[in-house]
Amino acid sequence: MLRYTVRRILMIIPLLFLVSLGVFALVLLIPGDPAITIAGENATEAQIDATRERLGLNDPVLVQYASWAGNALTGDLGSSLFSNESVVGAIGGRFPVTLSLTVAAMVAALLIAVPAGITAALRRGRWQDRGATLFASVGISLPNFWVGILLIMAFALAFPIFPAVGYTPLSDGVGPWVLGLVLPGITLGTAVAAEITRQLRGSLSDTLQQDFIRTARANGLTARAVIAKHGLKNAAVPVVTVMGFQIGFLLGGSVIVERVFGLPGLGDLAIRAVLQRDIPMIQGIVVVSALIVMLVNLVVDLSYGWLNPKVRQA
Amino acid sequence: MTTSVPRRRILYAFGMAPLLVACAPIAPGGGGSGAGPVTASNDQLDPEAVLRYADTSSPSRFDPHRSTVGQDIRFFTPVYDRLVHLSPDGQPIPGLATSWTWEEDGRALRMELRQGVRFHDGTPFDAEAVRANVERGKTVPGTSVGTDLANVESVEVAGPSTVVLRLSQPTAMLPGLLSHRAGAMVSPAAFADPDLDLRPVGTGMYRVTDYQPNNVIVYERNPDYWDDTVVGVRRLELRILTDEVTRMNALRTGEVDIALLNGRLGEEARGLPGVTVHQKVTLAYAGLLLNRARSQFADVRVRRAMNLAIDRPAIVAGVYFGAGEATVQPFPSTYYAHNPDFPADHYARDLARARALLAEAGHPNGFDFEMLVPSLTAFVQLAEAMQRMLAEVGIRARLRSVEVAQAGDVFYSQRDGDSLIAQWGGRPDPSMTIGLQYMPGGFANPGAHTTARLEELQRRALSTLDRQEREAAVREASGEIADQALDVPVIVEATTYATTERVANFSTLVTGQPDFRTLGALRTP
Repeated sequence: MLRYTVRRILMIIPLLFLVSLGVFALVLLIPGDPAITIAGENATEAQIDATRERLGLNDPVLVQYASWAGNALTGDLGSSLFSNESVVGAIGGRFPVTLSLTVAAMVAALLIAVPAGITAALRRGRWQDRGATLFASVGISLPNFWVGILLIMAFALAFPIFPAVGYTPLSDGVGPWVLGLVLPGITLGTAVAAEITRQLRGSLSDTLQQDFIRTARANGLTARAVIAKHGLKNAAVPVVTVMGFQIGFLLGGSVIVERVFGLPGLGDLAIRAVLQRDIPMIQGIVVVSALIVMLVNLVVDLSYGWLNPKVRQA
Repeated sequence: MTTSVPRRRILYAFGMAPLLVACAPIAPGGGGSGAGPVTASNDQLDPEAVLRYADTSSPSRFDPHRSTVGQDIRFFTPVYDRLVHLSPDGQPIPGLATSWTWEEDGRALRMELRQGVRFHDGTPFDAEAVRANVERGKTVPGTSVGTDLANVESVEVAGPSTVVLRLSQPTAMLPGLLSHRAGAMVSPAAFADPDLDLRPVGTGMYRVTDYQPNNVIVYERNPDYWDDTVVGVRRLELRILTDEVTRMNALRTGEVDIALLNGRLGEEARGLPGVTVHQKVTLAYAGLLLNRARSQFADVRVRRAMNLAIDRPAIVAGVYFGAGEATVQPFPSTYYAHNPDFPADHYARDLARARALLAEAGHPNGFDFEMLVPSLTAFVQLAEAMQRMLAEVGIRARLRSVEVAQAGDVFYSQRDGDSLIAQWGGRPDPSMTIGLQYMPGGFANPGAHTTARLEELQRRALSTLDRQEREAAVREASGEIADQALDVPVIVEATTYATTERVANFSTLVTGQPDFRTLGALRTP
């Protein structure tokens, strides 16, 4: 298990390298020249050339990449071409927002999906099941910006329970922090909840038809023990896998939800960086996001070992 | 001023999509509606108040000499005083310079400076600081004010608080230019600070105590401000909320007191209890800019026919939701450069006359041309409306979508495309707009076409030091532009701000930015 873990962690290094190389290549393909913008609106050709030179944009691509990667290894992801803000600082300032949002979305998703999935699996074919399936289909299809607007209209405007916009840092108090995350969390978590409900329903109802469940029941275990101990744990592997995938979805979805709720997170930073061709910022965000996704996958894989002892021996 | 269409790229005139959209629509003339604007005397204002304010984007840079977007001025004015300030209708008034006089037939501008003023970091503001700032504006790498200051050959320190700007040629628009980024005074002690973009140091009524790009700007009162008549507030928190509906929601739930809105939300905001909507036309106008060296646009009859084919009121109402006023010239009716002989209906839609002019010009069956359209909803809608209207007289526009950030480059620098749908952001002085767009060497005149009369009027406007004569020349020039139909202006856009009941004395300048010097909050009873 230890060797497996170490190997998985080491694999992150070449993956990150490939990702950063890929992003670098993609950014070069985006039309538009940041030097023109940065040189200022009345710049002459000579000034633009000088700007390009100053920013190192004239260097061969590989040299540019090597210089970026070299700095990145020391933890320096460069500075925004526009505001001179350090990329690490900008990401560091916004990461807690996106992290809070992602956690809130996951919590909201599980709070909805676990009861819904279990009920559907236990009441297969009955109205509870149909209701959960309907929710799953609708939940996946609803655009989250629309869900967000509806939630704001209902719970921030008509009944002013939650704030409509903005993020309150955890340092300003747990209460305001949670309040501000409820609506964005539900907005972002709805589609994930729908997906998890579907998976849990399928997986759990399969498991409940297995022989060992019948045996457990025959042994006189309570329904609660059968489902919680034998059913859910065995049904969890596909569900956890889906949850891992959904982290990527949540990071992507946060781009829109952050705009709707005015949250200063990574998604908002990313959009602006792309619109401005702020190359170091784009690079930094993608590499950090990739790192997060890889770490989440790692955790998911390691959790298989806990859920399924067979994996540990493999 | 309001905007400035950058010379290299219209880029940011449209570049910042959300901003642009926000600056779109409204009814001409301005004034508030709904609850009615609150005006209060100084003793009704609460100097300890905190006001929160929602805007669409951060400045491109917080260094006024290197900011790449003209509209950034609205973020600068609370921190950076300029040598010259602007009255609400766009006239130069004293700022850090208390008075100025022309000398040597307009080849020198002597400015008397305000005394006893200090920058936020304690550095004294004096003639030496002005010299250093003008030098910096001309030479700092990535300067965006170098062209504005190009005619300033040197700055002579004639006394501790007197400077003389020596010019290579008479430049009557210089005071106007010095009211904008070019005249912003940065503490010379902060020139070398690599973080000047994040921590601005000026002499303004507020200092910036926290700035997180595209998130929040916190302005706090500068207790040592030179102007005692300014009350202001203790703290002004500007939050960047990109989405228009989000800004509206923040206003609705009282999370902000002031919001910059998209014009089409003006009507909705007006319906909110206690909310006042302020819509006022600015110097930004939108329409179809022509490369008069291409297609059939060298012929004035063709250009007039195009102008006659456009139903401006319909576009103002349908595309801009009334947020602006129809126009046939580059300046709004509220501005001194506007020529009243050419009202918006000077080219009222007249298809018969348009067809007759086309036939006279040798195009009885019309002609085809290419229209570059930056890929932003507002421009696409404007383009499609104009395309249909032109088609009715047989002028067939082929729309070619260009990326917003590329549009200026393609049309101005590469001189590609017959015409461009654009918003011209306005300039602090009308002679600049005329020079850039209609003079042969103007950056925004890719066809290098002009008229002899316009050249003469521009020469007069730049060399006449008498204000009234100068304004007359500019007005005549604007009339000539409309008469010769040098392009197809459609709408002078308005900005839309909404404020809650706490906000007092809110007003915007003709350049579109709020007047922070009057802005205050009412004492809570």
